[in-house]
This record gives sequence, C-alpha cells and structure tokens, in this order.
Amino acid sequence: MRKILLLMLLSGLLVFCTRPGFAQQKSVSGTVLDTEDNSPLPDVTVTVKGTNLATKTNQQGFYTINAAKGQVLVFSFIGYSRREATVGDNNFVNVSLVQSDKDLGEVVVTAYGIKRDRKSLGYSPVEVKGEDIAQTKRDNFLNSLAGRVPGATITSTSGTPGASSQIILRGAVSIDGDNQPLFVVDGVPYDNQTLNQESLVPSSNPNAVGFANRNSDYGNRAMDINPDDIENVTILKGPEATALYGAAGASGVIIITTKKGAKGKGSLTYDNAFGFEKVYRFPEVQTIYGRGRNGVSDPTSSYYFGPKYDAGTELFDNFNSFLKTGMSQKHNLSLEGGSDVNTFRFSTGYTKRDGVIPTSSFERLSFRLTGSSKITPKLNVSATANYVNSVTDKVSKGTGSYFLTLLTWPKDDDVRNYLNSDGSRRILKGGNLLSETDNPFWDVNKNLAEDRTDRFSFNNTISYDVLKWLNLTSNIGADVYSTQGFYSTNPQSRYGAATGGFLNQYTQNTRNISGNVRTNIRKNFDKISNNLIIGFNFDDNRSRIESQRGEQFIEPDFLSINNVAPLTVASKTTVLNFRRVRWFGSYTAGYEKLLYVTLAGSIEGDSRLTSKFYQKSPYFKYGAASMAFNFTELNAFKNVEWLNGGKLRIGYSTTGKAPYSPYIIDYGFGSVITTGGGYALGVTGGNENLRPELTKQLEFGGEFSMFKNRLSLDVSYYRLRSQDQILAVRSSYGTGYVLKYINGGLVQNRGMEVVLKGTPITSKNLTWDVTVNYSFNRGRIISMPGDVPQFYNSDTWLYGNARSVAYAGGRLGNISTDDFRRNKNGDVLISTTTGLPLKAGAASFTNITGNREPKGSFGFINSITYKEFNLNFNIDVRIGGDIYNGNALYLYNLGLSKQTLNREDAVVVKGVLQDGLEDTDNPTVNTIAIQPAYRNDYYITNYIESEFIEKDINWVRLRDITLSYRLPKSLLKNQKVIRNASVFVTATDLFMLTNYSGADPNVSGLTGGARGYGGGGFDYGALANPRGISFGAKIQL
Amino acid sequence: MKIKYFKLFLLGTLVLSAVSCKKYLDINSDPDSTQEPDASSVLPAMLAAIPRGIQYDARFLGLYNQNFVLRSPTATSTEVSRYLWETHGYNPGSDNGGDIWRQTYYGLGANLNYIIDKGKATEKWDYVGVGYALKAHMFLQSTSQNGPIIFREAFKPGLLYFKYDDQDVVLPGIDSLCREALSYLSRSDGKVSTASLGKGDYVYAGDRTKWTKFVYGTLARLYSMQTNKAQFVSQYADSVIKFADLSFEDGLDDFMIPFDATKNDDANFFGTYRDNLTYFRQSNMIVKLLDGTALAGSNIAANRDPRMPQMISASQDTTNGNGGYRGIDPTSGGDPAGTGTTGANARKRVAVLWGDSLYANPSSNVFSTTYGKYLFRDKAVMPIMTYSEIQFMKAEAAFKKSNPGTAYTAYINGIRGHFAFINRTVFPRSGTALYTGSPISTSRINSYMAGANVKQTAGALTLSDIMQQKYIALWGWGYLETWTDLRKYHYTDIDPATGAQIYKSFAMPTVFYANNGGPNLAYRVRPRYNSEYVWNQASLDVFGGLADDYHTKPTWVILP
Repeated sequence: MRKILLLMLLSGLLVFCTRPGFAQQKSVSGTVLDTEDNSPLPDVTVTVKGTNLATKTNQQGFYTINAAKGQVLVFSFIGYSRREATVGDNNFVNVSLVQSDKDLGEVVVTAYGIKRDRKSLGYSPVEVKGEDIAQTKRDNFLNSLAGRVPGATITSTSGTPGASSQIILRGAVSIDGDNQPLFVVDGVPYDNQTLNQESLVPSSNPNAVGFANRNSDYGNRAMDINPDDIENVTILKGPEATALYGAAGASGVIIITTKKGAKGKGSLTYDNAFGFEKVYRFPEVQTIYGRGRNGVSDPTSSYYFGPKYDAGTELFDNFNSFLKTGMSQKHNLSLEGGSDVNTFRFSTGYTKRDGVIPTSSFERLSFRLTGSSKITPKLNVSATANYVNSVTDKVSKGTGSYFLTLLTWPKDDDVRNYLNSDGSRRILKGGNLLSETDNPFWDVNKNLAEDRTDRFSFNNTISYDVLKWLNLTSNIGADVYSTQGFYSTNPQSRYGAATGGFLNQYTQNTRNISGNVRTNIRKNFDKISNNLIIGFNFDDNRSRIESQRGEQFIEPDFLSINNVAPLTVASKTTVLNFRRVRWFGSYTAGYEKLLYVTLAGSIEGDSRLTSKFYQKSPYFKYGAASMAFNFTELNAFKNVEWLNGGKLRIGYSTTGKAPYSPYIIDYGFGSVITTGGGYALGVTGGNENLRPELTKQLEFGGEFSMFKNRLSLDVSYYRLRSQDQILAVRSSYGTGYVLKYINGGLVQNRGMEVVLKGTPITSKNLTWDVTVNYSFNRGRIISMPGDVPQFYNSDTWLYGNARSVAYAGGRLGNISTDDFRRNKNGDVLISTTTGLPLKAGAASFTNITGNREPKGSFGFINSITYKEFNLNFNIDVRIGGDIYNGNALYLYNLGLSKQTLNREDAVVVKGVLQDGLEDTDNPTVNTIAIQPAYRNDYYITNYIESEFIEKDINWVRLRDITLSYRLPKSLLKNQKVIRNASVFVTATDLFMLTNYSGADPNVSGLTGGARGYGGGGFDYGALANPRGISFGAKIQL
Repeated sequence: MKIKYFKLFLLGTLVLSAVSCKKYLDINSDPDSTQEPDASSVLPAMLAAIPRGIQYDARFLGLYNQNFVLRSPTATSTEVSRYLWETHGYNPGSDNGGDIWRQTYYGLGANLNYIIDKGKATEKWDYVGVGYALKAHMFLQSTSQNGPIIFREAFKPGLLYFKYDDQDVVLPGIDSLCREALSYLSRSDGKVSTASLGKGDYVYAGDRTKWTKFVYGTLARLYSMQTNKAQFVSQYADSVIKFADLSFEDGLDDFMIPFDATKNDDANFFGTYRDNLTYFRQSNMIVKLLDGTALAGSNIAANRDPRMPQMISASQDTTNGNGGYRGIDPTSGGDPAGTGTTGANARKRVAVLWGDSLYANPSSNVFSTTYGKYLFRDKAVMPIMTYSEIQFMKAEAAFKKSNPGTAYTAYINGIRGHFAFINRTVFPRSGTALYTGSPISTSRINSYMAGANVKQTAGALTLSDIMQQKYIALWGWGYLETWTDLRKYHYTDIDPATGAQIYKSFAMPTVFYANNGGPNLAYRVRPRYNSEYVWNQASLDVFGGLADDYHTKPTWVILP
C-alpha cells in the first residue's frame, strides 16, 4: 500500500515536471520602494504570475528575475498592498508599494510566529495592527479589539480603571470551563488569569465580607501588556491554528507580536497622551418621594415609599457631587536601531489613569528590551525582556458598593457630608451600622483595596537554517509575576462593623515556563510545495496564592495585618500547578498557488488528567485537516477583470480540553475550622474517569478580492460541537458530595463571520478605507452531562432570583428567573387576602426568560486620509441579546425607580384569585384594588425578575475615533533632527445609541475570570464605561 | 533499511520521552492540602459535623415537637417562613429541615467511608468501628427524620440518581451497620490502641468501651422506635432492654460533642455568639412540664421542678403563679407580650431561651462563657445520646412488656440521670457546665424525687410519666428522638391509665399549613430540597414524595 502511494506521488511529480517552459525569457530587474518615504524595501517577494518563479529584493530593494514580455510580475510584502506590473519592452520594472494590510496574497503570522502565505491557509486569521490598538489609548488593549475582530465578544467588567475584560471567540464551548483564548506574546504564552476570590480567606462573620467574585475586580493579567509595544495581533479561531497551539488554544489564540528594532539609522520616538473621562450614563432615579414605607415618612428607612418631598426641600445633585472627571496621562519612549547583523529596541511606557470614581486609579510602568542578532547567516537569535509594574487602586462593586449607595442616597441629603467634624463616620439612619448603607464617599475613601503587580517576562527565539529548506527553531520563555493585594473594610463601615474591621491581603506568585522546538521543512518539487512542521512543546505553570485575613482593627484607619486582633488572623494557601507536553506536526502540500492541503495532529499530555491513586493516561490526541482552493489561479478566471483573487476553504478539526482546574481527578480534602480541626472532603467530588472535553469544528468559507483589490470579502461559517463537557454538577447528595465532576453533554455553537473591506476612495490626496465586520454565533446545549436537569452558575445569582442556567435544549447565555404562580390557563394567581400576585418560589428558577447572547454584531472601521490628516474611527453595533437590569429592579424595590411613580394610582393586578376555583373552568377574576403607595409589597416582593430582563438590546457605539495630523515632510526637510512628528486627538466611547434603559449594556456582573458564559448581560452595581478624550503628540528623531 | 532504523529510533525516542513525560506530568495532587489524610485527621471533623445537622434542623423540628415556639409569626421574613413549621408545614423550595440529610450524605457520609477504608488499610480497626458507628447513627437520624432514604444505593460510584429504601429495609440495614461497628470495636489486634483512637476522638478520648456502649445505645433507639409494631412486646422490647443494659452505665458515658468557641465555626450553634435563638421562645409544653402543671397537676411552689430555672427563662412578671415562667402555645400568635410591647405588658415579655429577662442578645458576635444558660451557650456541649435517655427507653420497653419493676427503676434512673447531667462538671475539651450558678443541690433533688412530679411506686407509674420525663430530659437537644416519641403516640394519644393525653401539655396548633389538608400533624420531613427535589425527583415520585402533603404521611415505623 505504501509503495503504491509512493509510486502515485512520484508519477504525480513527473507529470508536473514535464510542463514546458515559457518562451522569450529575459532578465527583468528593478527596485521596490515604499511610497511613503521612498525608502527601498528589502525582502519583497517578486513572482512571475502563473509560474512558481520567484525571488526576493535585496537590502537595496533591488531584484532580478527571468520573465518574458507580457508576463505579470507580482510584488508582495507583509504589511503592503500587493502590486502587479506587466513586463514590457523595458528590462526594468520599478514599483512602489503602499502600506496596507487588506489584501489577499500577503503573508500572515500564524502559530509560533511562522509566516505563511495567506493563500495557503485553510482558515481565516484576523489581524489587527498594533497602531490601531495603540491609537485608542486604552489601558487594557483587549477593549480596543471590540468591533475590530469579527466573532469576538468583549465584555468589560466596569468602567473603572484596571477593570478586567473578558474575551470569548466564537461563543462559549464549555458550560463551566474557561472559554477565554490563549494569549501568546512573541511565541510564549502570556498569563491572563483573573484572581479567583475563592483563594482568599473570607471574614469570620457571614454579615461581613464574602468572596464570590463579585465585590472586587482583580483585572485580567493580559492588561499588563503596554499597547504601544504591540506591532501586530493575530487572532486565530480556526481549526489548524488551534490544533497547533494545543488544548490551551481550544478557545482560540491571540498572538501578539511586539515591535522589533529595524535596521538602519537609529531612531528615538516619544509620544504622549493626556486624557479626560467622564461617565455620562447613569441609571435614573425618581426625586419626588422621600424615605419611608407605605406612605409614612421614616428617615431611617432605606426605602423611598414615604411622602413626597416637601416643596422647597433642597435636593442635592449627589451624582455630580460624587463623580469626577477622570484624568489620564501616557508617555512612551522608544529607542531603536540596528545593523544588518544586530537590531535592538528599547521602550518604556508609563500610564496613569485616575478614574471618574474618587480614589480609583490604574498605573502601569513598563520596560521592554528586544534584540536580535544574526550570529551567522544561518543562525538568528532574538530575545525580549519585559518588566511591568501595575498598580490598581480599586473601588467596590456590586451589593453594598459605592455605585448602588450613590444611586440610592437620599436626594435631600448632601452626599459630600460623610464625616463628622471629628473625622468619624456620619450616621444617617441611626445606630445599627449593619443596616446603615455606606456613604459612597465613605466607601471609596475608607474601604480601600489595591493590587500591585510586578511582572517579568522573557523570551528567546533561536532559529537555525540547517539547510536551505530545513529550519530549526526554538522558543523558550518565562512569565513570572507577583501580585500583592489587599481588600479592607473599615470598622465603621457596613460590612466592617460585624468584624470590627476586616483586612484581607494576598500574594500571588505565578511562574510559567514554556518552551518549544520545531523543525520547519519547506521544499518545493516543481509545482508542489511542501511544508512540514514537527515540534515539541512544554508548559510548566505554577501559581501560589498566600492569603491572610485579620479583623478587629486596633487603630481604625491603619491598614496592616499587624493592626488586627491576633486571634482573628487566619491564612490560606492555594497552589495551582499544572504541566503540559505536546508533540505536534503539520504538513501542508500545495499545488502551485492553486490548491493547498494541510494536515495537522497533536498528542498532548496534561498533568490535570493524572491521578495520584489510579493509573490514568494523561495523553489525548487531536488533529485537523483543511484545504484552500485559490480558484482565481485557474486559467478560466485569469481573464475575469474585476476579480483579482478568490479562495475557497474548508477545514475540520478536533481539539481537546483538559479539566479547567488541577486536582479534580482525585477527591480532595479541605481543612476544617470546626472544633478539633482536621480534614473533611470538599463539596465537590472528584472523578477518576474524567476525559478531556472534545470539540469538533467544521469551518468553511471563502475570500474574494475584486476591482483591483479595492474590495475584498471574507466569509466564514463554522460549527463547533463540544462533547464530554467537564462539569461539577449538582446532584443528589447520595453521591456523597454536593457537586460532582462528570463528563458528558453536548454544546453546539454555529456562526458566521464576514469581513468586507473596501477602498471607496483612493486618490493622490484622499484615501478612504473601510472595513465592515459582521458576525453572529448561536450557542445551544443539546444535552447535559449526566442528563442533569440543569446547571446554574451560582456566581451569577447577583440580585433577585435571576441567574444563568444551563439545561438541555437551552442556550448558553440563558437567564432564568422566578415566575408567578399560575393556574392551568397560565393566569397569574392572586392572593385572596392581599390582592397581590403569588410567586412560585425557587422551584421555578428554570423559567427561562432571557438569552444574553447577541443575535449579531457589526464593526465599522474607517480610515480616511487626506493629505497629512488621518481620521480613524470604529463603530461597534450589536444586535439583540437580553440584559438583566438588576439595577432597575433594585431601584424598583426601593421605590426609587421611575416605574414606581404611579404608586398613587389604584391597581387591580391582572389575574385570578387563589380561592380554590383557580383551576376550574370559571376562576374568579381578581377585582381587589390596591393602592401601591400604601402597599409597598407591591413593589418590594410582588414582582418577578423577568420583568426586568430587557429583550433584544441593540447598541451603536462609537468605540473610538482618532484624528491625527502629521507634519508634512516639506516642513521637516530643512532640519535633520526630527524625522516625523504628529499630533492627534482620540475619543473613546464617545456616544452610544441603545434601546437599553440602564446605563451600559456592556458591563458584567462578575469579573473577567468568570467561567462558562461569564457575567456579561448581568447589569448590577457596575459603573458604565466612561467617555474619554485624549490628545497628544508623537515625535520621531 | 536505513529508514526503518530511523523510524525505530524515532519511535523509541517518542516512547521514552512519553514515559518520562508521564512522570513529568504526574503532579496532579494538591501540594497545599492532603489527599490521603490519616483516619485520625478526618475523625475530628466528623465529630464536629454531627451537631450541625441536628442543630440546624432543630430550628424546624423544635417547632414540630414543641420544644420551641416562635416569638412572632410575622415580625421578620425569617419568622414568616419558620411559622409554617409551627403550623406543621414546611418551606417549599427550600433546604430548611434538610441539614440532617446533608450531613448524612455529605458532611459525614463519604468521609466515614474514607475512615472505614483507610482504617481497614492501616489495620486501625477502632477507627473502622467508629466509622460504622457514626454511619449507623447518621442513617438512623436520617430515616427518623425522613422515612424512606437513600440507603442501599448511597455513595455508589457512577450514579447521579439514587433509589430510595423504606424503613423496612433501612432499619435492618442500620442494625447490620451496628453489628459491623461492634465487631470492629471489639478487635484489639493490628494498630488498635486508646492512644491511636484518642488522637482523633475528642469525645471519648479513644475509649473503645464507650464507643461500644454508644453503638448499643443506637441499637436501643432502633428498636425503641418500633413500639407500634406487632413484634414490639414479643421481641423488640427485650432488645431495647438488652441493648440499654449494654449501653451507657452512667452520665460519664454520655455522647456529647464539645465546642471550643474561639470562632464562629467552632462555637455552639445555639450559643449567644451565633445568635440563632433570637426568634425562638420556650413552649408552654415545657413550661407546664417543669412547673408541675402536667406532672403534678398544679404549679404550686412545691411542685416546681428545680431544673426549671436551669433550663428555661423567667419573665420579670412573677404574678402568673409559677414564678414568672411563661410559655407560648403554637400558632397562638406568638409571644403575647412580644417585643415592642410597652407599659404593663412589658414585664410579661418572655425572655430568650438563654437568659432570664434578657430579650436582646447581649453578646452576639462576642464570645462569652457567662451569657446563656443550659445548652444555649457558646461553649456548652451538644448531647447526642445520654444515659438518661437510655434509661427512659428501657423504662418504656419494660412498661410495655408489663414489667413495672424494671420500668420503675429505669424511670427513676432516667430522672436522676438528667439531674446528674445538669450537674455534671467534667466535659471533653473543658466545656462550660450546664448549670447556672451552682449545681442543683442533693436536697432539692431528693425533695423533687419525693414530690408529686415523680411516681413513688412502680404500681403508680404510667406511660405518660415515663414519656413526659423523657421529654424533659431530652428537651433542647434530643429533638429527633422526642419527635419520634411524639409521633409514636400520634402526638395526642390517650394514656389508658390516666384517660388523659400521654403528653398532657402538648397543644394542637390552631392553624395548619394549607397543604396539610386539615388538622394533620407532621410525620416526616421532606428530603433536602436542593439534593432531592431538584436533582432526584423521579426517585421521590416512586413513593409519592412529590405530594404536597407528603410530610403528613406517617412513616413505616409509626404504622402498626
């Protein structure tokens, strides 16, 4: 059999080899220049169209190639528009290339930094230029990807500095696993953890601080990247790429290439930005009725069901008293240069942002040194060292936070008066601190929290060209950081009163080392190109969190673990260690530029699958196959004038996913603090039979380039089927546990991504490039593991009885809520005594009332260049998807919602009385009239959360807009110091049009570390994203 | 040929690296917490886990068995939901009343299996015996509370849904668990020693004979439950008497769990720090048992039980004839002079269980050994089984067997045993004494024993005397056993000897939970909601467990 295959291959080769050569060959040469500054462009690929004759330009941009008159030369280079030129009588063909990234036929950075001709890819990677990211001047670069990456859902936790963001590509494939992509910087994984609060020691008293990933945000660690160091971001969602990055990339990979030094005259670049920001969206509250209940005034009440404010009562604008204008500054300095042999780049960046909430801030200082050296013509070495120091001064979030207390602060009280003259807390509602909500000023000034991270990452790449067609490359990297953080509540605060003050401090030390070696074999046999990559990869990830808690401060305002009652000190250590190894291979065969077939496969071992007690294989296999068919290379299409390029592609792949947490195969004991101490099994039972989650992905699509490449279209359709979901399901306690890890179930995601790029206008002075991204995803749970009736993410149970529930047939982004009790006809049952509707209670939490997944989203990215002016803007449009407006319900319950202003109108709740006749054919229709103003239960208890789920929320959001002006060359030509200079003004989140009644539909109730679908779509107690504007200048020497 | 060798070489390196990688990957055990602790490290956590189940559920069982009555049915939302239990209902869609279930399967369940397996592997047969003993105890608690439970399929690997067994299967099963326990506790080979067991056992300090007695006590309970069965007089009564005799010999054998009271988690659930008694007041049932009304026929001073000031609280108003001890009848509208009442009624307010004249908790969130009384203190023990209880079981069995002499002796032992219980001075882990001030003097005990509350001859002894004295002795801790007794006698059965209710001071609620379908009292607690009603519904449905009035159906053991 093998012999036959060999024979077939050989005969195939023979056939291709016997193609006759082209007539009337001559030597054509020329120089390729950059249109921008007329500098020569080295390494530009020059091919004779329709043949596999190719060469590259030398350092002076010069090339020589054999071609005949009438043949077309194709010039392509990464980052530039492809250009074609026909060989005429002249033997010289000089061309200039325009910088661009929109064309087919270019080279893209794929897995492990391997540059590949886009034509050979059976999938569609998305590239975002570092420049586009940097120009938004956002601290967390993830937020600048919104709208720029089709198929990416980016949810920021809140609008405060240092807030975490969550990114999910192509829908969540795991019901409860980590669905965030892998981040890779210069070939080495970059940790993007968000601290899980379960690692911290909670307070001793249940009335005080609890840790459920809601009351504090810890950022997502990928925000340590200085956006100005990013050269380019490639987002891989498709089959082959994830197969190459292994299970870690099962939810996609975000490959970040940092800026490198370029050879030539050294240059120094400095840029800065100064910004202001303001929150302009805030939930509305009523200002007519004052504190009290049932129409009776009560200044100690938290409710606003009292009488109307007296005419002439001074009402304070507490929102504006509290919220300030945020200010930020950024400075970047970079120095680069190099020779033919060595290059280097050193950059330092400083960012400081004071948020709109007093005391909130984010500060980052980053240094990066990159160097490369061509030690021998065959041996290239490059290395990067990066140090980052990030400091986030945090404010609270969710229940009891400044946000909710500001919303509900009495309008007849000036929120600024939060201290008594002696510096103690001013009490508004009387004695009991446990029921007195914290003044927002008190909260942000007295309940301090901070995270400080020192991060060092290093990577090294050695590339050795053993033979012309054989390259050996290794990457090794370390990513090491230490975060020291604390969370505190003052003894006089609501959540500090029960414990006499509470301080939690922690240190997280994370040390990830990874490395890989690979051989890359490229050999062309006439028209057959072959590319074989074989490699080995390992990861060693260690995180250790040491947390201590202390209570009963001796000095009320002094924050130190030494300032607490010694007996209240408790500590906890959490260690999360895991390792992975992987052997991988990928083979691409191409026939001319017409057809490419890629096969890839991996064997991966993951320590999280091993057991201490059982023999259990840590290995699992997966692979991918894809095909790219560049049909425009066929002769039939060569004469189609308007069509410049066309590709059809299809791919199928499988990927495994190990358990998201280590130590869940074997049962785990936890130490208990009951009398006598000792160990007891944890709530979650391990399972020695766990297998990896398996996702099968089918993707197909096409790329088309038209009208002299002025219009291009890229369409992808995908279907992901993820089986063997690993889930800690709730089940009968008969298992011996409350939750138990099991495998099973099937989740399907289907979706489409469309990228349309065009250049409507291109002339000497004016160019307008526009990109339209469109994508949608439909996630559905086809079956549940173990056929359990449901699974809910308890962290999403934020306010009221609404939470995210997964069940067979449901959507991953479901929201389920309580319901009214109903008779057989579905009529609401009304109590005969109160006249108010009856609630069904917890039993009906499976009442599905919302789906947070958007129906689709668009991104419109525009770049208009007029002479030296450039205007760049990104409009993000989301269509559909439901939001649970927890803030609105909270305000409704408290009588602050404008919906409660009708309280003086008598109401008869529509429904039937629960009088024994409700299920007969003639139920008694309710006629009991109630006056809500005197019956506040109507608002406080007799609602269902589904009334506060806002359906089909759309938004149109101007994510960012930048206007920049570059000083014309003519102005600079008389001096030799300044090479380039520009000024800019950027605005972020400038406006939003939405049908959402709350402040911002794009916030999350949880931190970015939330698993599964995350906390997006739960709007409760989080600040809206502020509107920001910044300006600055850039100068290059 | 060469290629072949190359391939072999490649394969060889792959296999070798795969093997060494397997070792490299073998780091999946938590360096931070042990995954194979010794049985002695798990046992302390199990002992501490026992009171959690019963004390959490006491908030509901204590309303069924009228140990407590709510202060007010409406003052807070918590009281509104608790009130349903006072009306012999339950909270649908809630885990209230489900903590014994939780502890049976989760809190102790799988851990006890671990102790048993680990004990067997390390030849620590004493730990194995203790493991079985606690398993039997938990299953007995659970079936007493819930009737049918998951028994044969419990902890079976690979299952997510579990079938139930009714008591006709469960009770013999518990009997076998007890016998297993006894056989392991009787072994002294292997690594068995008092010191070894004492490492984890802070209740009996490794004394296997006391554990053996505890197992016999469990067996006595198992048969004592079955008084309504036809075989009781002919067979089971003898078993009860025999097991009682093999069980506790005096109060020092009592099985009681101590609390260190240094933080929330190691303090008594009913102590002032954890403040869980706020809503509860003493019932008229216990007041009438202690002030002489029920047992002696009147509450004149001479008839007042010297245990009364030790166990329950007095109001400031002493004009009510018994020295100010006021109780509340269920569903009577709560404390008639509750919080907020001013003027003349203020003095009639009933104090919280842990303090005379104290209405508000003086030491919430603060550890105190001075505040509180009887079992309601931060550092007071939680009794699980006492000598006194054993004697009352024996008395009841002997009485039913028409052996009044034996019954009478056990009855007297039971009462004196409870006095000794209150007067006890030595506790494991130096717990707080249960008496307030000084112990009850011998002369007061003797005068009570000679008084009208106590029958003076075997001939005069009635079932009612035994059961009511048992009620007093178990009040405040034996919530489940007391409820079982009440259910055995259908709460209001008449004692033929007196023509009155066996439990004279038991008062029928005047309001009943809507789903009870009339004045039907509770006979079982529904299994834990978030374990069974959500995740194991189909199994419940097999025996009608989904019915709204399931809780009113007498359990197998109650039926003849």
